[in-house]
Amino acid sequence: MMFEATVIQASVRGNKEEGIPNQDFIDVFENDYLMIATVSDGLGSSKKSLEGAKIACTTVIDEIQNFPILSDVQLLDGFIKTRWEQEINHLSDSYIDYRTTISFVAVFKKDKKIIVGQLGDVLVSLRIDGLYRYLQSTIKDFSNETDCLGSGRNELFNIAIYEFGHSFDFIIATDGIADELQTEKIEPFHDYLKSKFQKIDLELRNQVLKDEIEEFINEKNNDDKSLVFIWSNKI
Amino acid sequence: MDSLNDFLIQKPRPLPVIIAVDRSGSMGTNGKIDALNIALKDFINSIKDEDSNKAEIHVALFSFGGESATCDIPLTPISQIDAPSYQAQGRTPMGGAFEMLEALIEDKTQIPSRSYKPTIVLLTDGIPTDDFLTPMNSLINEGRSSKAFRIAMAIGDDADHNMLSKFVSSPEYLVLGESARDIRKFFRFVTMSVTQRMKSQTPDMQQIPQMPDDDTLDF
Repeated sequence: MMFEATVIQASVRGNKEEGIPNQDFIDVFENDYLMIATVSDGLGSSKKSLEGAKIACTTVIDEIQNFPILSDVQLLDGFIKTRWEQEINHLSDSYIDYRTTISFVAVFKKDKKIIVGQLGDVLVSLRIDGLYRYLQSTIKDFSNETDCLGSGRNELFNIAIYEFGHSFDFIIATDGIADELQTEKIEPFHDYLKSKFQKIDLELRNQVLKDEIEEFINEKNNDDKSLVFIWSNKI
Repeated sequence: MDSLNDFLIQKPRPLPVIIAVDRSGSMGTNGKIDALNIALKDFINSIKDEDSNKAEIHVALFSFGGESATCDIPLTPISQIDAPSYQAQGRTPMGGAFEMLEALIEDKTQIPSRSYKPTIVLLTDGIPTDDFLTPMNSLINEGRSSKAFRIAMAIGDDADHNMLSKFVSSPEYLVLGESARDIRKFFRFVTMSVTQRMKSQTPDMQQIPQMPDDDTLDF
């Protein structure tokens, strides 16, 4: 039996100088075989980072669609980085202007596998068949530092592959949200999101999530804030 | 649990300010130690009034004098701090202070990664009397501590200007003072630097305020 999944997402521009856009980007792709959620956070110190962030999401979706699931998942690291650099090369000589974090969760529906990738300080938390785990950058020294594509330094993803049987749900959140979450409450946060938002009309869910982020997190820091939560309904 | 707020850390991100001051014997001349004690009180009282949802200033205070460096106030939210009063005595074991500063900044249990970058403030009127070079190089070049903003004041001609120019993270962050009066001026400069960061949309970008004019000081 195939599964159905529910997606809620919101992205809120941080408190910053007029004219600077929200440099976070969310992209969710779905077909009969795959569901891919990607979230990228363009660096505030890079002037074209929103473009870099969009290209990163598109790159991840393209590369995963062409990725044989039986291959070594660590190969994705190089595929995504190389392809992102090629795309940037069409626009500029400088990767630095386009620096961005990128994280993703890809659900292979028929193979019942999930590939998770994370580069930079984006939180990815997953619960698969009731078992919870999360990936968060451990090498970050201070609040506004991160690894990213285009840095010329550490551009290695945390990548893992899991199998699932009957259920999953996951959160991807940029650091404007992730840095404000209590680590021990991230799993209960999954329960909160699921129980609250499944009762809200489909058309209203994203706006309600955006309103909550604006009400409770926007004054805590100046970062852009983005969150995707996806849960499986039936398998 | 009925709102997103229940899952959030309720305290603002820490903005650490780590101060290391000279209390060696030479600070006892020309009213320098008294000026330092007053300046520290003024500094702490003035930044206690700064309030922000986005950052909470945490202060740690170290001193070097006598035979060793000491941690006099561990990293603590500014609202809970009272300034100590120093007596000038002994040698200038600045290298010991550098080791303690680095140990504090490297400790993620004390300065978590959600913190803003620390500001280190160093004030001295003399030449280090211990091995300072290795710990200073480690503090300013290695690990997390290398990312801190470093501000320093050299009081008088006996201070090691060459060493302090290497210590600071930017040339504008080395303040040269001639007298005790300049110590209070320096701490006004530090206050302005810290409060500018608090109010900035990008607190981890370097903020270099203008030195305050003498006529704005209230002696």
